[in-house]
Amino acid sequence: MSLKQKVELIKKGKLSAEKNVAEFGEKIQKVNKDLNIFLVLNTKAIEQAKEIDLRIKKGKEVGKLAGLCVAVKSCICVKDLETNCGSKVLEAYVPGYDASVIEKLKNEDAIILGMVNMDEFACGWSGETSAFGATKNPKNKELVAGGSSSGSGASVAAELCDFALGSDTGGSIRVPASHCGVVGLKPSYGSVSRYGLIDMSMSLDQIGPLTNSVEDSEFIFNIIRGQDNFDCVSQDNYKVEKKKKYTLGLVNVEDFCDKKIADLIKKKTEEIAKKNKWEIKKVSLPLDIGIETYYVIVYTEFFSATRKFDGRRFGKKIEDFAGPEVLRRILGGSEISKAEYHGKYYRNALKARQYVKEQFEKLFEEVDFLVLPTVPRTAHKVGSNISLKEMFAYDLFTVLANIAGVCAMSIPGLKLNKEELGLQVIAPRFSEDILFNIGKEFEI
Amino acid sequence: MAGKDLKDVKEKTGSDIGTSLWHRVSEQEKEEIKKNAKKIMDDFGAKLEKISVKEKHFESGEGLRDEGSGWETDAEFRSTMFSNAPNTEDDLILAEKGGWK
Repeated sequence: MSLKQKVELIKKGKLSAEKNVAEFGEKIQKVNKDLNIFLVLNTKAIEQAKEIDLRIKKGKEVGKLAGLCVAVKSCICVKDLETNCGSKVLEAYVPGYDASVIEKLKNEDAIILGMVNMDEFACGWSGETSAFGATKNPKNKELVAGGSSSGSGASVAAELCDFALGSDTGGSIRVPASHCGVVGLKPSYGSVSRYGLIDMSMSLDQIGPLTNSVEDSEFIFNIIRGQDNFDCVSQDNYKVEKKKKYTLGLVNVEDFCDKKIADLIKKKTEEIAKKNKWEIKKVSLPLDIGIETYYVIVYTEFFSATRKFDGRRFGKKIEDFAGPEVLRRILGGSEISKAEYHGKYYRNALKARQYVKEQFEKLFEEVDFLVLPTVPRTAHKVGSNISLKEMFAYDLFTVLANIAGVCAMSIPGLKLNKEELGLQVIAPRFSEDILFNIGKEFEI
Repeated sequence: MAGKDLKDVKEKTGSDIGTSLWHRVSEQEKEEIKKNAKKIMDDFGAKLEKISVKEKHFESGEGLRDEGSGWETDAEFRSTMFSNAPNTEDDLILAEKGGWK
């Protein structure tokens, strides 16, 4: 059942919002101890659901998301709910305001079910760097859920909510979507307001939905997108795509991942292209410089972003209470932003970003969208000994979309050795409509 | 009773720290992390130095968005902010340099 259909049932009184919340509550109670998904629950959810039911009974108007339950990544501020970023640093931080995306959801009568686990300050790839323990993958509890929006991906896969919100700086929505077998959308930079998002890297972060289908993703995106005066980079530039026949670019990834993964993606793409009479072109992306560009930008911007966590304004001093991955980024960022290195690191990364953007612009003159794997590997076992280099490689196929500011989506459906594997589609900036049109073909 | 179920769930769930890569970092480990992080950045930076691109500068009004008609002030947020401020005068929050020391 799609989210739109569920809302219709609630509006017609065939399903109560209260029952919807209660059913998720029961499931959470049963599985959360094992999966470690929810960090904080909204104890007023039932009360809010009852109020929606009452309005429906009285024939009053309700919102487009009436009674739907949403799980929120713990770095998106929700008024009166502890938003701890998966960190001891913000363990007691309860925002006095809602992020713009939350306000939009609440205005449409969605119910915030609670705050979900994540890599500490979104610094991670697997969901294992959280100070509150790793999130387990609902499809196989021995495996990681993927990060950094680990709880968001896992909550949708475990059917503990109707949909979830995550944030994506270099793949943090798409990686857990790939590992957990759900749809994850990274909107174009500027499509969705970041106001109220505890930022990791201001020039790369975007908030987006994780859902069970592409249709649901489109439904939620259309509610949260748009210009917001509280975020100066947000815009109303959404392009509606009428085209039926596309030219797609199949990205050459053979040198960067297991051949089996590359073959799976190729086979699926050729099958869908043949069915829809789309033309396929083989293309290359600057995958060899993506990770380097991304991390220099992230280390610098994250160091700057965390200066506010000095122990005076929000909770505790970050250098005293953060885990090793957060510290690596802060200490590394502190080093490379010293005056003596002026022009050496960040400026070169910005030049490389411009190069990446130009490559995408050239590619999108020839093709309408790109196809490649979301992650170069399937999920690893929780607690396994993964080197930093291998962890960096997790983001290899996802960082370029953030660097170029374009939109991208991970679509589930493929499996390698019984494990979930996402197929990633990337479209030009503000062309999310292309992702939804073609995504529906790929998820069949 | 449907409403009871969610309320019965503990407001804050238990942590499962044994499965996490997170741990408290000692001062000695911080020093090692710092050295490693710099080395990573040096490796990455060396690769980026080889990319030759002409930098672009945006100086015109190109790319500026229409700001619209503005937004309504959130009265509740305003009152929370002012009630939290130690010193206020009319519509201003009074701050003293180094006042927290």
